[in-house]
Amino acid sequence: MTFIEFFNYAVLLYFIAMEAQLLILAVMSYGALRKDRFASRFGRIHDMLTSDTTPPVSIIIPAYNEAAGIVESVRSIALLQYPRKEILVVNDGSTDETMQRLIDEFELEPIDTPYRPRLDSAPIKRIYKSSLPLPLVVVDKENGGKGDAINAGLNVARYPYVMATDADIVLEEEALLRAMRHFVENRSATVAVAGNVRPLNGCDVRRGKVTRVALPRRPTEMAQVVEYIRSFLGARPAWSHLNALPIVSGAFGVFQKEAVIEAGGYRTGHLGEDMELTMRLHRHFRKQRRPYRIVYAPDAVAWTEVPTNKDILRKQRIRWHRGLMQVIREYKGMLFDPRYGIVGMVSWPSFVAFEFVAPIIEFIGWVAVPASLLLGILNLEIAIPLMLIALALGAANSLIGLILDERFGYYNRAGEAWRLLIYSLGEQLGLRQRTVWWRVRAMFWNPRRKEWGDMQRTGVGNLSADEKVSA
Amino acid sequence: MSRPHVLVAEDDRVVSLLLSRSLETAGVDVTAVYDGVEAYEAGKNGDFDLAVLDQVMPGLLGAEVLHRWNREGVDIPVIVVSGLTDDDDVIKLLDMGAVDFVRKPFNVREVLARVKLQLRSKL
Amino acid sequence: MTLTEMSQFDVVLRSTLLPLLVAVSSLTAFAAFWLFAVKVYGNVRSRFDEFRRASYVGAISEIATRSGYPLDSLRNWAPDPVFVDTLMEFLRFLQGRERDNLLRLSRELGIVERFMATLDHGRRRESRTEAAEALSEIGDPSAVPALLKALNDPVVEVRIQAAEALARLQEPAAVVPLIGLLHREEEWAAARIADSVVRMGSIAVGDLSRHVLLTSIGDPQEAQRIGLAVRALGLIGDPSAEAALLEALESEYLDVRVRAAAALAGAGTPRCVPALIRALRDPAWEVRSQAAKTLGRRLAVEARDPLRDALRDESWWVRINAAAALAEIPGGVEVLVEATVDDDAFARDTARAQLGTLGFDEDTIAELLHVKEAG
Repeated sequence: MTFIEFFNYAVLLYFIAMEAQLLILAVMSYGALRKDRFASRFGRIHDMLTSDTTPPVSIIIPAYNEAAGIVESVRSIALLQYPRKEILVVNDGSTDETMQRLIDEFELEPIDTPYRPRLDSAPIKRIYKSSLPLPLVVVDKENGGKGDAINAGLNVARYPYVMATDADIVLEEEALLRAMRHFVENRSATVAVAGNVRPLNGCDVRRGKVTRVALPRRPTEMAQVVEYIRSFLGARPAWSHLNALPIVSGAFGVFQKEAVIEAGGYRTGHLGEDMELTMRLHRHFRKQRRPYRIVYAPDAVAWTEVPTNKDILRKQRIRWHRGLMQVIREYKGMLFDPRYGIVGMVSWPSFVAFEFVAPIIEFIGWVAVPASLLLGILNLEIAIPLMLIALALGAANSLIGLILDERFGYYNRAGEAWRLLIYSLGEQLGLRQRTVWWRVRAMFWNPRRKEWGDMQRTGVGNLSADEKVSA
Repeated sequence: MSRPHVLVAEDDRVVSLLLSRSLETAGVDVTAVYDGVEAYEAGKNGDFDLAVLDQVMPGLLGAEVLHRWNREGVDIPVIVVSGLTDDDDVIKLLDMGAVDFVRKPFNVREVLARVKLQLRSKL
Repeated sequence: MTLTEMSQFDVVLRSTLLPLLVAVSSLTAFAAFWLFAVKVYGNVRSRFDEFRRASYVGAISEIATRSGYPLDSLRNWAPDPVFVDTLMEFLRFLQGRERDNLLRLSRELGIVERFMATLDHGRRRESRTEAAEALSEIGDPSAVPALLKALNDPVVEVRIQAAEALARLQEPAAVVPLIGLLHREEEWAAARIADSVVRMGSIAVGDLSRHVLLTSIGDPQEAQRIGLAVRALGLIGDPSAEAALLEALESEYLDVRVRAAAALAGAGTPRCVPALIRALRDPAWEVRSQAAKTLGRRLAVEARDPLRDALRDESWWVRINAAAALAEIPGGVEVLVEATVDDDAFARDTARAQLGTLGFDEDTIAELLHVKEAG
C-alpha cells in the first residue's frame, strides 16, 4: 500500500469517525430532550407570571441601521409573556432613521439618569424613556459594534438578568418564560440559558407574531432549515446536559448580569462575540472551581430571518468561520487541559475537531480521492464503499436532527415533510461540499481586503442571522 | 332604548369569546377584534359606548390605541385589561384617560361588573 | 508493505465495508420512511383534534356563561382527551360563577374520578403529573386521599403538583407532609413546595413555626430549607409566628437570619422592633440591610435614632435601606434632614439622595435645616 493510498483511506475513516461522534451526541441529545420536554410541560411556567419571586429581566436589543424593522421588533418583544421586564434598545450610532422612528413611535423623552459604566463602551449620547405605559428605554450611543452596544446595555440594565437578542428576530410569546424557568429552578448556579433559533423564512408573521409555521421555497433557505435543526437539536442538548455547551447564540441568550460583568462583558470588534463570551464564562467559572451551569433550552424558540441568496449566505458563513477561528486561537489553551473538566477534555476539542479541522480534512478528501481514483491509485472496491458510507452517515445525521425535531410538531404537512426529507438526504451531494468550500476559503480570507469591508463595520443586521451553525 | 355597543379587543381568542358571551348575556352588543391596529380602526370608524382593551396586543398596545384615539378626537371610554405590575404604568394609563383598569389574570365577573358600572345609564 | 499484506488488508476492508454500507443506508432509508409516516399521521390527527377543539370551545363557553345545558350530548365527549384539555384550559383562567358551572360539569361527567384513578396507578409519569395538575385545577375535596398518597410519588413533578392541589384545597392533613417535603426536596422543588405552604395560609403557621423552632440545623442546605420556611411564615403574615421568627433572627446561619429579618415585615408585631434594632448591628450586611427595610415597613418610630446611625454603615445597601426606611417612618424625614449635615460623608450623601427622590431640592433642605436650628 502506498502512502497516498493510506492517506486516502485515513481521510475517509476520519469522515466516518466524525459522523459517528455526531451519532453518539444525537443519542444523548434524545435523552436530554425527553427529560427537558417533561420538565417544560410540567414546569408550571404560567405560575411564574403571577409569582412575585419571578426574577425581572432586561431585554437588550442592539440596533445598527434598523430603521425598517426596529419598531416591529420592539412591538414583538413587548408581546413576550413575562411579569417584569424592561426593553432596552441600544442604538449603536445608526446613520439612518432608527433613532427618530423610535422617538416618534414610542414617544420617547430624554431622561436624566446617572450613568455608571461598569463595562467599557463607546460614549453614550443620551438615554430616553417611553412616555407610553411600556417599559421601554432607549440608549443612544456612538457606534462601537454589536458587543459594544450590548455592553452599554448591560451598564444601563436595571434588572439582575439580561436577555441579549437581535433586532430582526421574532420570539415566541412564551420563549422568555421557558428560558427563565432554568434560572428559577437553579438560581444559584445557572449563569446562562441559550435559546433555540429557527429560520423564519417561509413562516407567516403578522404584527410581531408568527401566525403559521411553514417551510421556505428557495433551496438556499431550505438547506438552512435542515442545517439549523441539525445543529440546534443534534448536539446542543447533549452538550447542555454535560454542562459543556460551547455556544449561547447571539440571537437569543439570557444571562445572569453579574456573571457577564464579572467575566468582563462582551468583546468588541469580535466576529464571534457570542461564542467568545460563552467560552469565557466556561473558563472563568471552571478556573475558579465555582459551580455554574450554562443551559440550552430547546423549548424557548426565536425565529430569525436567514439569508435568502447565496452571496449573502457565503459572506455570512465566511464571517462565522472567521469568528470561530478567532475564538479557537484565543482559547486553544483550554484544549485538553484537565482544569477545564469536560469542556477542556471533551466538548471543546470535539468542537474544534468537528468545526475547524474536519472541513480541512473533508476538503482534502474531496480533492484527493477523486484525483487518486482518476490516477488509478485507489482500490475502487474499497474507496467507493467508504465514500458512500461517509455520505450515508451524513444523511443519517441530518435525519436524526429531523427525528429529534419531530416532537416539536412543526412541518407536518405531507408536502413539507417530504421536502424536508429530500433536502436532508440530498444535502450530502452539493450543499455540504459548498459549505466546506466556504469554510476553507474563510481560512485564507484577508481581513484587509476591500471586498469584506462592509462586514468589518460589525454593525448589527447587515447580515441577518447572527448565529453559528455547525454545518 | 337600543342595546349599548362595546368593543372588545383581546388577542386570546378563548378569552375574547368568553368575554363576548358574558357581555351579550348581560344585554350588550359586542364587536370583537383581535389586535391593536384593528381595535384602533374599529374605534375610529364605529360607534361604541365603551371599549375593553387588552394592554398587550400585537400591532398596538391597548394604551397606544387609547392614546391615538385621544389625539384624533375619538371619544370612547376605555377599560384597560392588563398584567402590568408596575404602579407607575397604571398611573400612566389612568393619566392617558382610561376610565378603569382590570388586572390580569382576571375574573370575567369583575370585568362584567366594571363594564356595567360604566354603562349604567344605558343598561 | 508486501503484496500479500496489502491484499489481506483489502480483504478485511472489503468484507466489512459492504455490509456496513448496506446496513447504514437501509437504516437511514427506513428511518426516513418512518419519519414521513409519523409526520403525516401527526398532521392528520392534529387537524381532527383542532376541528373537535373548535366545537368544544364554543360549547364550553356556552355552558360556562349560562347555567342549563344538555348533559346527554356531553357524555359522548367526556372520554375525549381533547375535550378534557379544553375544559382545563377554561378552568385555568375562569373564576366565579362561570368556574362553578364548569366544575359541576366535570364532576357530573366523572372526570374527577378518572383523574384520581390515573394519579393513583397511572403507569406513565406524564399522565400522573397531568392528573395531579388537573386535580389541583378542579379542586374537588374528594380527591384528597389520592393527593395525599401522591405526595410520595417517585416523580418530583407529581409531588409538587399534588402539594399545590392540597394547598388549594386548604387540607389541614397535608400541612405536616408538606413541611416534610419542604425539608427533603432539592432546592428548586423545595421552593415550589414553599409556595404551596404559603397558599395553605394560617392553618400551616403552627406546624411551620414549630418546625423552625425545633429543627437543629446541621448544614447549609438545611439552613436554606429553614430559610424557605421562615420566608413562608413572613408571606403568610400571621403574627402567631413571631416567636419563631425572633428565634430565627438569632440563628447562626446567615440564610435564616436574613429571611427572618425580612419575614418580620409580614408577620411581626410591635414587639419585634427591639430585636430588629439589635439586628442593625448584625455582623452580616445582608441582615442589617433587611432589618433596616423591615423597620421602615413596620413604621417603627423608636427605630429613628438607630436608623440614623445605620446611615453611616459601611455597606451601601444598609445605608440606602435605612434612608428609605426613615422616609416612611413618621418623623423620619426630619432625621434625614438632620443627617444632611452629619460628620460622616456617607450619611450626608445617602440622606441627600433620599430626600432628592422625595422631591426636596437643595433650597428646601437648607430652609428646613434653618427652621430646625431656629426652633
